[in-house]
Amino acid sequence: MTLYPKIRNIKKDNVALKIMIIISLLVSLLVFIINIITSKEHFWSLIVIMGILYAWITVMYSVYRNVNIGSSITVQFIAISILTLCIDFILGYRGWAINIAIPIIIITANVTMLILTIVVLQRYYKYAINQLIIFILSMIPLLILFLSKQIITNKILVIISSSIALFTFIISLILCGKNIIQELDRRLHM
Amino acid sequence: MEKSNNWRRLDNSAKIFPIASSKKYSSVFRLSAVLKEKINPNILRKAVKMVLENLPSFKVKLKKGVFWYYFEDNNKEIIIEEEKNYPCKYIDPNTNNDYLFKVTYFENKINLDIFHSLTDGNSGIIFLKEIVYTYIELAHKNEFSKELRIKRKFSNNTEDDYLKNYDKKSKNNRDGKKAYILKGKKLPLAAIGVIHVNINLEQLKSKAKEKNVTITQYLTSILFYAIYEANYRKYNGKKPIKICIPVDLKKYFKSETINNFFSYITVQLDFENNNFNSFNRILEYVKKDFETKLTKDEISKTMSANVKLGNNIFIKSIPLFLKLIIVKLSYMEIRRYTTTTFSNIGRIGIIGEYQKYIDKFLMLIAPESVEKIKCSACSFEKNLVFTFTSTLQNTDIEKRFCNILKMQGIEINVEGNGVHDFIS
Repeated sequence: MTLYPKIRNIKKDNVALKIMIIISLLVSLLVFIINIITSKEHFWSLIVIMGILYAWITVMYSVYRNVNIGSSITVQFIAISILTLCIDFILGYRGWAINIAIPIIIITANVTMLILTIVVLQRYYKYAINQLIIFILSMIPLLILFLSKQIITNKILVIISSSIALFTFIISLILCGKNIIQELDRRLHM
Repeated sequence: MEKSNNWRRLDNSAKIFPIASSKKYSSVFRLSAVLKEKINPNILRKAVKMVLENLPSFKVKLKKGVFWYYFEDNNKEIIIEEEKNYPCKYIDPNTNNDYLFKVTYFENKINLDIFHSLTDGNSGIIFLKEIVYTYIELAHKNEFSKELRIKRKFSNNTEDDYLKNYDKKSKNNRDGKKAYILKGKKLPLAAIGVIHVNINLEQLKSKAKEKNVTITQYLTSILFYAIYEANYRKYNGKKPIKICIPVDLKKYFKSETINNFFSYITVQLDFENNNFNSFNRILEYVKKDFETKLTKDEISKTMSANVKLGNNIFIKSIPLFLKLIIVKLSYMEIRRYTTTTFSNIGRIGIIGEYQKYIDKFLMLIAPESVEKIKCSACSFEKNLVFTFTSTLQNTDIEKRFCNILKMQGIEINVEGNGVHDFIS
């Protein structure tokens, strides 16, 4: 009688993953070099690099982590917001990211979370922490609006998005307040 | 509305494992039961499911909090698979339905790989024994109709007994000297070599008695001697050889917890500054070191120092993502205070009617990049199995260990997972 099986086909580290990382790095380097050669004023290659980085965040988060839909919404909410901000800065800041894109992202994320809350009310505790994170981050443009009048030029959209976030959060509190408190208790224990 | 899942904090020892663990440092130990019959996977699946209903503290998943990880109830199906990989490998929750233990089988053997956060070897063996009892009952229904009705009693207490028993005022007894690290070429492809030394327990007992030492002291001395002769001398070692011996705290403190409740002592021999010219001299020194360190007072000091560290308000308030970075960067350095670990969980007692179905039990601990060899032992009936798990290509230490045993007149036979046969 043998105690152990013969180990066959031991996977080395994921080769496909390594190849993809190398390809991504090479493409990034290549576009950057082309950018430097063709133009020294517009760093358009950074947009490509940001896009590749965003794609990697999405792929790694979806494939390598056993995450729930609430976490995916949170990650996408943060990643797309950062991406739009970066693109805006790369293209010579015009403020469209903070004034238009991010409020739209906030509205989309909060409405999605509201739908999720209503649909999966019985399993809401799974998404409570994501709801809380999205709500807190959604209030940042409003905070900026109060602190500096120059950064936010499109007040209406920011106020609408923040109001929707607040409304969504209040609805969630009414429906699942106990769950949110329980979730905070377990997540914040020291 | 559906009640949210129950959760519980990790015990003081358990906190470090998920922070420090990775594919290279799995923090997994394996307990195996070798039966006298081929394992039926369907019966095994049923048995594990039944046991989990009685031992819900194992039915958990690990979740990230802002400051610490925590356990939450896991309602997913348990996965039972045929053994396909090396033992004690990193348990990836994503491919294991979030469970922190893995049950596999191979021919007559049931394996239970446990992530150390979940529990220690002594409570792990309770879990394995329950699986084995239930498996035998289900596989031999006619013979166990009576036993099936008897509920075996075991604790489901998940209290953190470290917090209950530590001494706030005790002083740190930590030794600041680094240890000799085993040298040698590593096995390729992250392989783990396993060598089981089956030792005649009667002969071992009488030899230990003759030398007036315990079995653990005796085996530790042989291990010291083997490391010295087969590795330390060859590579001209300078630092002391230090062997970490885990200690079951339930022997010293009243506890019924199913969580981790262990501490350790570090036995060390400084070959550079002392003349250990014979095995008997080593034995004498090891016995003395055990007697000095294996007292409730000393063990309490080690345990309390660790609890105080985990309870330190500054450490507590560091966000988890920062803890992960800090511990991962420093853990390799922390590990350099031990040459190897030797864990002896002792005799595994089995209810009479079930004994005839069981051949032996095995215990294995995951080796890692610093402690390249780890040792463990457990005994059942007339046999003690001393196990080496190694990431080193050469087996000089293992061979020397066996030779010393033979020279002492103790009968042994050796089995393994074939990794070293392939290399040599």
